[in-house]
Amino acid sequence: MSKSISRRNFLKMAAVTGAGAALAACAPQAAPTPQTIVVTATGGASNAAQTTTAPKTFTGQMRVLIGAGAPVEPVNQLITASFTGQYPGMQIKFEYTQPNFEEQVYTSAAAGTLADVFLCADLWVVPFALHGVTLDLRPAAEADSDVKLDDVFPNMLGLSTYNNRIVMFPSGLDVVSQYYNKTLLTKAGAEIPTDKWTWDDYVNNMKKVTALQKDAQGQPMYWGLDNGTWNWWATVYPWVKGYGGDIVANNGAKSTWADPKTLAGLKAYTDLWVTDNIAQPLSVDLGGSAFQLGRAATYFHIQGVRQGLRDAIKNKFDWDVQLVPTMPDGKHRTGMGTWGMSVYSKSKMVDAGYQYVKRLIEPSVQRLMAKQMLAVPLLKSVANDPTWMDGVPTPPKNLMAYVKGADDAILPYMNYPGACGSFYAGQVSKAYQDALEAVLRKKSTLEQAFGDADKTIQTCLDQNKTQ
Amino acid sequence: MTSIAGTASSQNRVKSFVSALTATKHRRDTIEGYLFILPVVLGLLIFTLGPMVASLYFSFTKFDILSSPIWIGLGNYITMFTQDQYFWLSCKVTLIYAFTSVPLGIIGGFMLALLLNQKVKGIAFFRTCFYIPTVVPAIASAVLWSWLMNPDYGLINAALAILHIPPYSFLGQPETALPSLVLMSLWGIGGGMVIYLAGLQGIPESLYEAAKIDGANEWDLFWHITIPMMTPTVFFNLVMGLIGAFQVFIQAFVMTSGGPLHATYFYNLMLYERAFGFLQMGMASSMAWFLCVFILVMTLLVFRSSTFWVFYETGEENQ
Repeated sequence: MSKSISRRNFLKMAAVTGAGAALAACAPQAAPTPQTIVVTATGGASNAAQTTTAPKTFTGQMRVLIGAGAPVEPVNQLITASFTGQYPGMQIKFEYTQPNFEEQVYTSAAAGTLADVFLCADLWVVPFALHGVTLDLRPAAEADSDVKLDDVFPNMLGLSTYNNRIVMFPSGLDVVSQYYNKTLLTKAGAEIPTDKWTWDDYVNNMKKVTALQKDAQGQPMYWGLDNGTWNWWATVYPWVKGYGGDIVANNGAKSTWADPKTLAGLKAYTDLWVTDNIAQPLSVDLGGSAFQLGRAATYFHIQGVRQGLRDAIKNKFDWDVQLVPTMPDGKHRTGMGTWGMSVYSKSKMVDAGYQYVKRLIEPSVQRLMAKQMLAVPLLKSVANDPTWMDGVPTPPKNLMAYVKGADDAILPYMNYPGACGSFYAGQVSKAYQDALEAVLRKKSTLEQAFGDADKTIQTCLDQNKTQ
Repeated sequence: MTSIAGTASSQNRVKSFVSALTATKHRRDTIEGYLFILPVVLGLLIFTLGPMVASLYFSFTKFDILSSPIWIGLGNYITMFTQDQYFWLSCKVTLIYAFTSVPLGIIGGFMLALLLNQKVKGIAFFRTCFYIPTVVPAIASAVLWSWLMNPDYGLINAALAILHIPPYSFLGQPETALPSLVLMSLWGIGGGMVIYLAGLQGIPESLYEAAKIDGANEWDLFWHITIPMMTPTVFFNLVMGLIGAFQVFIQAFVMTSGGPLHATYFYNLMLYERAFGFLQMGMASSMAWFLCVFILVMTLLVFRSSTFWVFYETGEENQ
């Protein structure tokens, strides 16, 4: 039997429901189970965990913010298994990143609701550290007999460090390497890349690829270089260093993007598009990676993309990986980039968080990650033991290229003032990428474009001297 | 006398009781009314007005979201107008977009409505077809158009290939990226078309009949009756179109990231970049307030101009 509801009854019900909801929201959360913590200092000036002895017990639930799917999710499953194996009283609750991850982290941190442990990557090391989001893992790591920081490849640790603070533990040895399409190179009559190749060798061989076939308008159907990473610091900055230049001087006070040596390196890089015409033009959109589609002979990226390449390429062509060619200074100058895990500086569980993330750089976890093709080991002791490659699916076959590349790999410059951004974000990133795009699209000269970028960055440096 | 006086007294008592009852009921109704609108009022205050006031304050500060705002007075506005090389560039791109896409949308929507106002079989089907794109989410539309305009496998280039026209990267070239987004905006003219259709069907048939008796031909009917009678609808679509066009964001965010070479670097994209890319929330807030004031001024100008070109059935202008 239906019964109509009066306005007053409706308001009464609404008031009761609203009050109930408000009370529920205001009710204190279940008190966290006490943790056995020996020495802990959180937040403050250094945001440093200072656990001098590993806690014996942890109980409760820890929130871990990760990216869905491989490699982050399976790696965290490995870590979780190891962590909860040691601390059975702990539960790990995975939360997943949103498309605008950076905003998600900043807004959650501002609200104090960021997960205890969260995904990080080289590009966020500086901004997260500058904004106090991340815990400094160094004090705890240095006091922890389980962790051997000197066994981690120094450049990978450097990539995870800002102002001597370890912002994240990196996941793997992610050095930019040269993927190549053996089938296409052979078809074009080009040589197969070796670890002795210079960039001149590279250019000469890639010209054969570009000349292989033209379309009706006389444009190349194939290119030597896939343009997917044209503006990545890890593919640009090595050229600057390889030609003896740099992007700052005077302890970071002077921008040197327009200095002669810097411009020489940038000229050699941009010539791949402008003069040599061996790189896929920026205006050519194939609706996917030219390398994966078999339309570009080489692609420069880290080991982390190999599973994606295997899935995309399948048996379409034969491919492998090699060290990047050598620069005029005789070194295989290349960049790096990796993801890792950080601990939220204001987490109530910083010690448990540290115990969780440290597993990322433990030999047993690193070996499992390598076997499952989730990473190339970043511990020297594991990487230099060839057994890590046993049973790893191929292609690529030349897995040691990933390891050898670390010798000459360089770090990005990370000490720009926060307000100026970095290689990854903010004004610096925008200025150099705008300049690079203008040159590669042949809309500006190198000197003009990078002269403008240099001025923009210098202005920002001058305005933020005190930082 | 006593009985008359007693009757009057009891009548007064009844009156005052009724009056008190009515007053109580009126007060109760008022309170209940306020209670019913309370959620909306609270929502408006907390989620709209509050953030607006906060952003006005932030526009005078240096604020990176995570640290406390630092008061810098008009610093953000001065930087924005005098030092930021991208500010005027983004204004220019947005103005070009607004002043091309809005007239095109108005003309296109009006023409379409004229066509779909015909009494022919299956007209409801065609009206539905033209309206459907407006209910497709903007991001889905953007992805769809990225595919359509792709030089390698896009349908547009496939169609051009039939005419022996070589494939072209519409979104990959600075010269064509913005015009491509303007043309893409016509995808949403179904929304305006429905309003024009309603306007067309609201024109009294008697006006046309009277004009025909006076010897008007089809062109006269269109020019002297249809268009004047449709000016209130055009006015509405113009105001809404301009407000929307000045805030264009999603297409560039999803399809071009503002490129190539800043050809599609819309004002709102720069605002978003400053807020969440550069973490300059103070600067982003000042940009937002400038946009708000600019849209307000443009809307007022359109309202003022309507005196000269908007006509109403009553014979009065600009109601």
